Amino acid sequence: MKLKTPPMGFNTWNTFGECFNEEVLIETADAMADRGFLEAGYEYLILDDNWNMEWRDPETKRMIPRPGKFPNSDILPTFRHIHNRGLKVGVYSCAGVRTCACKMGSFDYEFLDAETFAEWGVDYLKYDYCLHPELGDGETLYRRMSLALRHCGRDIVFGACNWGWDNVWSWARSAGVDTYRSTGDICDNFNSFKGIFQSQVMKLGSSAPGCFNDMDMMTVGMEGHGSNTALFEGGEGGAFGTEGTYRIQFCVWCMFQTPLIMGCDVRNVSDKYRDLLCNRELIAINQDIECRPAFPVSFDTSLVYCKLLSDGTFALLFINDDDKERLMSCITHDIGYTVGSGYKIHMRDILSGEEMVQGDFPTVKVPGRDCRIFKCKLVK
Amino acid sequence: MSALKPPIGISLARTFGKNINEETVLRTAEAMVSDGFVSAGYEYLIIGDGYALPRRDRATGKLAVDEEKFPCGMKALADKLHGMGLKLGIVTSAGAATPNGAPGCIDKEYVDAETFAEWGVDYISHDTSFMPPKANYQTVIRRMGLALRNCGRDILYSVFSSDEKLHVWARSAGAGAYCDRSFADADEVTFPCDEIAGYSADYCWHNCGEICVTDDLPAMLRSKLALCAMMSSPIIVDCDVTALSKETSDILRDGNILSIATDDEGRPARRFGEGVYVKYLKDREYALAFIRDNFADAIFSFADDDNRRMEFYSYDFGITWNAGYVMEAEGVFGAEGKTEFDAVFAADVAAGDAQVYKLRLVR
Repeated sequence: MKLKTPPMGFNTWNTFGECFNEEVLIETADAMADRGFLEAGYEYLILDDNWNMEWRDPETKRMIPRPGKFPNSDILPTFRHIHNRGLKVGVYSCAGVRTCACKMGSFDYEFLDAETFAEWGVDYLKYDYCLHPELGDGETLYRRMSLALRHCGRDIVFGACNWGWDNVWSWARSAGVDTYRSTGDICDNFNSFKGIFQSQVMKLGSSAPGCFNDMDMMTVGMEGHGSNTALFEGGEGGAFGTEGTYRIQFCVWCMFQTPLIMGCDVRNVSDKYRDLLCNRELIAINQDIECRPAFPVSFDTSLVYCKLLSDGTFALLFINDDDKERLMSCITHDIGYTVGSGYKIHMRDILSGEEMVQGDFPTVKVPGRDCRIFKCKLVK
Repeated sequence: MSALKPPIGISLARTFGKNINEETVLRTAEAMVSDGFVSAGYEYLIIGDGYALPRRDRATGKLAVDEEKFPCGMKALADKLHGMGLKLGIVTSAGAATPNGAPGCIDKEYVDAETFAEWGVDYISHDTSFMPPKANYQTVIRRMGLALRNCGRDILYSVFSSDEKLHVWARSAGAGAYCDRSFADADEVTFPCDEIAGYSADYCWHNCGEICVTDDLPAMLRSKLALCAMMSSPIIVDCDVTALSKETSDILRDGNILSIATDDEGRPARRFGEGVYVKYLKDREYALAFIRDNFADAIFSFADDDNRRMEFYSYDFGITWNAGYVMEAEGVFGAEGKTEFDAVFAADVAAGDAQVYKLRLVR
């Protein structure tokens, strides 16, 4: 399986943590299909940790879905419903002997588990890194599961989740890994997701078709809701994401061509955030076929990023992390523009529609703790 | 857009340098067709930088073609090559001048990109030769990248720049291929370090260097070709196509190694040990290469270094008994025969040579 563009979908972890079941998943699938998410491209519905038991079936050695979540330990009705709604099924396992929630992991059972997933109709595997033997090689564990997935009889996207350890970006593509988590887990506050994307700015060169840098599931729209308290650590004075900072998160996740995996409760997230997450132009930036990474245009406290798009245009993102509204600029000579070229830059604000023609010093007003993103075209 | 797969082509830049002319280019093009290079997958014909006059046209500031060498002009040449199923490439510089003294593109990037588009150029090898010491590499390379994307023609942008951080930003600048050595130093094929080997991917390929056929030693040629193919590097062969030995021509057009080079998965190999590389291919196949790149041995033939035993371990690859598979290696380039094995596959490889196998899992 080779992904040409980053995968899009939903994962249970951010909102539900360990607390999801057949009913929640069916409602989630219906919400993805009925509220426009699937239409916008969000196709993978991924079950995270805690879907399975702490032990394997003593005879078949296969993993056992938790009977408390899936009646009679039968997960197939859930998966059938997900497929019937036009979505794809994602499941979670771990390279270790146990998962992070101490459920059964895939260590030494990679091929059996991959075959099990294939029989169940799984389309995506998130593969975590907790509790692997201390004495051993991490890359080899991911290679095992990669081969297992390639030979299981079904196309299954391989989402590695080793948090950027073991120089993963240097071998992930060669190991058939489709996405690799590059940082620790995200929390639902601006400091957390700002820290994540700033840590990856110089590491996007290896994010490309076949293997994408994964900056973790989004918290856009969560606003502090959900039963997974781990998501709410670290916010200054308990603060969660705001409309402005969620806008920043989504625009950055699109510009940095990272997988777009929603973490909010899609059953009841507000229409406002649904519309942001389903914005076709922003998604198109993330799904641009040439997968050219964003790069920083200024190095002071302003955060400005540029990304070349395959139709010859480029996107410019201005992030204001100050509390107050201010004017932000960038010097477009640093992206390769010259006044001597005879071109000017036509800019269109993707979210507001405002248009302007600028040159070597585009200047825009950006609200506090918010961003503006422009589709830019050279015009004579 | 044209860099979906690593470009494969013939270059005349080093072989002919300043002595390039229209007749040589057309003779080469005809040979590429009649000798089977085009059908084997060689798409680009890179003519170098000797086509241009050393100074720009005073009135327009544009690059001027040396009409004594290219009487019909570049557009007519490009049209002819296109008609033969070929794409035209030239060597350019981001700095003040090209290696052979043609004008460099600094501060003229947009003008030159339009000129290239008018001519029908499909590929530029853009070097940072004769770069003014105070000029900024990133700026000039980004300029040409943006200029090419707005010139009205799809032109593959292959960048040469001795910047050890080039892999960090080349893709973001619009490069279709990048080499972290200058054009002059890129006449050898070398393995990128383990750290950056993983960057080679669709639309921006890590260029391991150009294959210069100067001595026709088959072992060395196999090694260079194998390394490029395994690392998903562009394969640019600098030679006089009309003067190749049959053995050299056969090696260069080998269908097996070229299909590994342009495999749909587009994944680079991983180095599993000194000279041992494994590349994931489509359809559940894998390529294993044993590459001995001590070329000195090939020339001087040190007797006790003649053959080296090289090994591949299924364990490191990810196959153990728990998997329920054993493996099979089938020689496809520089090697023959099919061997099934449990845990280790070894071969004796001659000095400076390469052997490439297809690997499969067997229940």
